[in-house]
Amino acid sequence: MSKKHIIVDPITRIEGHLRIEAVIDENNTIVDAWSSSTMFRGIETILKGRDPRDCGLMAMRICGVCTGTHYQRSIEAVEDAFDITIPKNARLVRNLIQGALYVHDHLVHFYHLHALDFVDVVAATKADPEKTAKEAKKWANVAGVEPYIGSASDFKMVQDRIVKFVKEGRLGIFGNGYWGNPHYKLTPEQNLIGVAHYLKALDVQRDLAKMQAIFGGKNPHPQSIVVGGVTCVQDIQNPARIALFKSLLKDGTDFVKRAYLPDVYMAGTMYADEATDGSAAFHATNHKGAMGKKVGGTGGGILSYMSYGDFRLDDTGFYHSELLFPSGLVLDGDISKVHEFDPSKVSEDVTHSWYKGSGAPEHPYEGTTIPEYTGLEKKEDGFAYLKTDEKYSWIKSPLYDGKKVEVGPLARMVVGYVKGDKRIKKYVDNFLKRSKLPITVLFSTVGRTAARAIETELMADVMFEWVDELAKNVAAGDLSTWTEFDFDKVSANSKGVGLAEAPRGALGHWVKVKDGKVENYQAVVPSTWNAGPRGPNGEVGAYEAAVIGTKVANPEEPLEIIRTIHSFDPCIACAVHVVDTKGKELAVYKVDPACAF
Amino acid sequence: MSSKKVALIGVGNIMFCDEGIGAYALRYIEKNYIIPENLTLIEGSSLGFRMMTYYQEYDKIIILGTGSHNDKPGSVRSENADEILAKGPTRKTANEVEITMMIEICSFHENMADVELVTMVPEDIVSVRNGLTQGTLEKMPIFVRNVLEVLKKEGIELREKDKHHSFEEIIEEFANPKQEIDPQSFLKS
Repeated sequence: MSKKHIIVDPITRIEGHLRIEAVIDENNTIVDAWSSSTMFRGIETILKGRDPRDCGLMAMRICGVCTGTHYQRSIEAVEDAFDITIPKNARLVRNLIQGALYVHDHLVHFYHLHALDFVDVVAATKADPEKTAKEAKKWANVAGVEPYIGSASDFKMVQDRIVKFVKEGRLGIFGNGYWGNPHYKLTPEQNLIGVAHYLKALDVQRDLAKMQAIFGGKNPHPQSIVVGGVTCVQDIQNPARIALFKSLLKDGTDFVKRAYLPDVYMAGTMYADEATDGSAAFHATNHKGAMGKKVGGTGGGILSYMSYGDFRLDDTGFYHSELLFPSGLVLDGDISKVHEFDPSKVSEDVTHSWYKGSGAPEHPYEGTTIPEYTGLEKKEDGFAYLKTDEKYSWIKSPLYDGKKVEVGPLARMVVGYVKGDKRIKKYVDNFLKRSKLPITVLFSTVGRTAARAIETELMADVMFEWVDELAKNVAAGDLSTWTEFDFDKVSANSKGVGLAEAPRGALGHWVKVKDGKVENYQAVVPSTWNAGPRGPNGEVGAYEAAVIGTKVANPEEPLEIIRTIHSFDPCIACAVHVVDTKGKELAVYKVDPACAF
Repeated sequence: MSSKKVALIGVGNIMFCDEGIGAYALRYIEKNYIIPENLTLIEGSSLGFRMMTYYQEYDKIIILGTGSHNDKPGSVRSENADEILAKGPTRKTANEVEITMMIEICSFHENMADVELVTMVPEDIVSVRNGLTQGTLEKMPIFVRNVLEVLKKEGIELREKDKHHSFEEIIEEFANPKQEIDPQSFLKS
């Protein structure tokens, strides 16, 4: 049997579509993979020449999902350039807006974009509701709580709905699944728990979205953050607004602790074999970069992690404060040491990206964005393939000190853990102790998903502390929300960076200001770090490496590829979901999932 | 007047030329018409799954955006959720991908709004710039007229305000957002 070339491709080049090409050998193991995408890069052109105080309003349009994050990072890049330290109330309000985004984002990602990679919906129709209730209790107890949904009759109602939908052929998104694939590992009862929580999460997420608007102003586009601070002084003085925030947070946290965490314990345990299967890891292959410590299993990937650090815990100003998520790097799976992060070592390479470059990786302050599309290659079989030896993605290849790194919740948890951060260690150790899983389980697709759940619980808990701190500070008479600055003076010639952690990972906005106007602007977004193509010397990207080594049950059904890619929470996740892997109807690229290679 | 809770959501990224159709049309309606209490206008931009919240909170959702059907640029079409899903897996724009995805995710929920998509075929959604192509700009009044007709079917008849704002003014406003600070909204440290 010959090798097969799988193409998983959603369609055109608008706003972050993703394509994965993979080569599968005769043993159904992925031996090579390439990630190609069309992330929007052009903000630089649109922001040049603007008043830097207005950049946030345009930068928020880079991405529809992380609108508020880009808005705040752009403003903080300008504040860094102007050397402004915002007041305590402003710091806490920003932490609360971003914290609420984290909890909402992570929850929606797990249930609505990722859970069906683990949960077989159709198999849930075979579950026994009585046994399901017992199963739900079992996993809730592992988490140390009582189950969110505990009665057999509630599970029966959900099951009846699924049966009805299956009969009527109205499965919606569930109709696109690879149901019955042997790499689905949950029992029918566990699948029913997953579906029941999926539906409940639709309600819960609605309230979590409201939290962001309490201090963020008009939803969905926040407006209360400005260069120098925040403008929601009336909201922070209003006890009813604070009480509403706490009440919504309390309800959301309840779901996180009694449904989300138990579900992750359940999935983590049922998929532990893959997570710890070192023979299916990138490090078991001969690829360049598959070096260092041999830890982790399926989906682990490059095992190098980076966090810029974020969520200031005191008011000593940018890049001086103690942080909730510490900055740093853990490289090549070596969890015995952490490397300090140095922003001057960030660069972007375009050897394999559809841009003209200067011939060497560029630092974002000096970065350019000049398109140079060289297209795909149509082979004899009539299909168009990426020219993987040349340029093959619209995403640039970001590097840290010449290395590819992974960013996101797993990176934050690993860096914090290795750095000895007390809070992160407490949450990670609690998860490992309760699940009885080894720490190496984190270095996998399942581990990436578990790290996001651990982080969600941590964030929900710490937000109670912040909202109380805010109320206390206001009650003590400090109402200041904005730091004054002399615009003409600070904007004459300056540059700054907004380095932060978006829910999906390290996000940076770099701005140069001259004579009151933006002279240069670059944004390096989290999915760029993870989804970027090969580096200048063939260094494999994070998505690419995570897929390589994976064993697939059925090459016609790229369930394992999608599961691993989704575990990163790409902002392009929805696009991956709607792919027609039968490939007959796709509009732009003619695609076949398993053409002979 | 209908008591149905209706949301009008304009989607599309205003940095991709004609992809801003939905956002511009929405702002045009907001500025030029008196909006009744049971109608909410939401600039959805490229919100993707964040729109889920709205799908569950209203009786009817009308989404304005670009369409990729094979008609010539400027042609307007209105489709309901079933028609959108029945188109199969072919999607050409981010809007279509995200909207379809959201309909699919929410269709399993008990409280799912009745969704209608009003789209116009754009000329250019690839160029990175603010503003519309001349051809699309000229067709915007037709697009808005279609949206008003769809609202009328829901029992919502909009009345014009006295002062008129042009599409050119609205596009200019989008292209040059100003961070306006209300002096009452902050206190200096």
